[in-house]
Amino acid sequence: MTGATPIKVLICDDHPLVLEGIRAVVETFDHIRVVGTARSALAALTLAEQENPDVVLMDINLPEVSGLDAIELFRERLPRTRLLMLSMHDSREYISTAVLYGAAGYILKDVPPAEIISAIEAVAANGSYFSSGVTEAILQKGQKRNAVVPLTTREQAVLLLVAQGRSNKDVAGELDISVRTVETHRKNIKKKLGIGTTAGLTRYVIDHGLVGGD
Amino acid sequence: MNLRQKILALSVLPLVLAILAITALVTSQSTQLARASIATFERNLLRAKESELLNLTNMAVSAIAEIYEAADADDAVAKRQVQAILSQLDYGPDGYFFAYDYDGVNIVHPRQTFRQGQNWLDLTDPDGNRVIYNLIERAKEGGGLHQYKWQKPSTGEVADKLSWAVGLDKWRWMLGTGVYLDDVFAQTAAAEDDLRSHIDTTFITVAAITVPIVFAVFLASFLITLRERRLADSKLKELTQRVVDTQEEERARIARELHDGISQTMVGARYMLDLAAAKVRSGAPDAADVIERGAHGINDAIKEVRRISHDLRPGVLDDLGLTAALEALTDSFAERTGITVELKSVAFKNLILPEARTALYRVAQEALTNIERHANATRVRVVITSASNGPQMLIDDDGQGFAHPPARRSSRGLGLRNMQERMEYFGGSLDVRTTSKGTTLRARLPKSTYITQKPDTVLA
Repeated sequence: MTGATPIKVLICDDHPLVLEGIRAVVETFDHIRVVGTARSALAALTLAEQENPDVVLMDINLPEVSGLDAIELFRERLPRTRLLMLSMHDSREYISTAVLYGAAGYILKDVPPAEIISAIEAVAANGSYFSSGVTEAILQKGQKRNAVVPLTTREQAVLLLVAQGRSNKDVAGELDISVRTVETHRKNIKKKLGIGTTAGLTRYVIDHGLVGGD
Repeated sequence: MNLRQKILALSVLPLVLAILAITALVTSQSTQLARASIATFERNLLRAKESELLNLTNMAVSAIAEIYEAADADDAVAKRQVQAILSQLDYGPDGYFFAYDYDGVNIVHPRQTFRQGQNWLDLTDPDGNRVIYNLIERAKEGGGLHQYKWQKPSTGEVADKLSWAVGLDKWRWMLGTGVYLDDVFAQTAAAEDDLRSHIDTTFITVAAITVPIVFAVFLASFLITLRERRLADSKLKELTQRVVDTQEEERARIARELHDGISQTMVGARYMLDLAAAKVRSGAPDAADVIERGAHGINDAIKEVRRISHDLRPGVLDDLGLTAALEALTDSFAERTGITVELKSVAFKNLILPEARTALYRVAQEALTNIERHANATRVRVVITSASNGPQMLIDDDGQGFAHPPARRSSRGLGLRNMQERMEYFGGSLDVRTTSKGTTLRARLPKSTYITQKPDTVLA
């Protein structure tokens, strides 16, 4: 590390003991500075908009908005902030979903303190980090058998609104995001579902029971 | 009123109504018929009495004819002779002849001799009928019938009487005889009693037929209900027992894992930390190593908890949805068994109700367990589709299939039933087709298991 400017870290976990534990571990290192802690994803988002952290350590199991859904919110509002997921779950599905949503790294809570620090450093340097044992899961995920790429939570919300015939501007207003972001989501949805037109999307949504067709 | 009661009412009510209608019709017709025949009977009886009276009177007239013809109007001897003859003309205890002169003075009355020589013109019966006057009038008219009430000699009671009076105009005498009608009325009344008892019999017969039939219908429906309830009860009992058994097994397993696994690991970790504390106190240099070993033990415990928790309920199912959970399930299945699994699912998440999601997941779990244990398959396909009429899951394999339905109580039979019940709980269905070339299992859920999607609630 350069050593001159410390890495600004924000920690988000709903379990106070874990929050304090991680904070204590991280603060023993001089080149990392904890700029804040939050107990929920939305609180973390608000705090992050003030403190502008380099890395957010985000728990996956959070009340209301989950850590996974929070990834999308951070990507929309603070695209430069790197998200390092912190979880008790070692299933591939969590990891691959986190990657799909745009997380920079994923570590298990029970890794040794040194690994947490390595992960923060790697992620802050625009790299990515996955716990030992997690990497193979990601590699395997590359040739996953499910032909359909699942939509993200945000994409599903956008799809529902688009299927109702709402304009991009309308959708942006509804979800409190920029029109450009909506356009990006829309492009991704069309690519994932292999559908070119808005009418096709509406039809797809009805055919798949996502909204009542009658 | 539930459906069963309605059906019962619908079947019993028309029956009862029809029986009542038929009974009423039969009764009224037979009553009419009987009344008509009773009336005829009474009329015939009266007519017979009348002709009898006429004959009797003629007989009496001819008995006295010789003396009467020969005598003149004031022949006292002849009159006395006729009086004597009439007094002796008798036919039975209540059959006698009477004679009065046209003024109402009694001449002959063999049963009530006290009347002789006195005038009875103004005598009335209990109904106010001037009996003697009217009889004399009939006689003057040339003979006729008159009905009134008179004391019946054999019983001493006042009874209806029908008399025939003829006139012996030369002597200005009225001669007559009568019959008491109470026996006629008694016969009619008896006939009417017969009729009434006949109607009663009809009613009793109908009741005797109807009541058992209605009762039988009730009994049958009651027995059917009882049987169904008993069947349902025993099924429920069996189910409850199964749930309890499963729960107990599960608890025993978890208890064993907690006690034999985590607990032992934690105990080990604590020994390490105790040791470390002792070493720190005594200033031994290797305290940090021991602490690390303790931390390592705790880490093992964490891993163990994670594994048990995952076995109990995969968090993926709640956090990431059915597709992700099935991916995890099929991944570990493929790793464990070496069977190739192809999973196809939909692009959406949070599409169906959490409970329905769990049900589909458990069905898939059970199906994969069956395939692993019995099918001897090399390839499995799991396909989730969501259509406008509801979600569907298809699981097929290229194994050897199995005899369907399997033997009762076998583990697979129980598993199939569990799957079926899980689907039926939501109003869905489970369809299993098996051949020697593989098994296809199709689980369907109704569209009511879809969650109503609202864009703004997908992301809070």
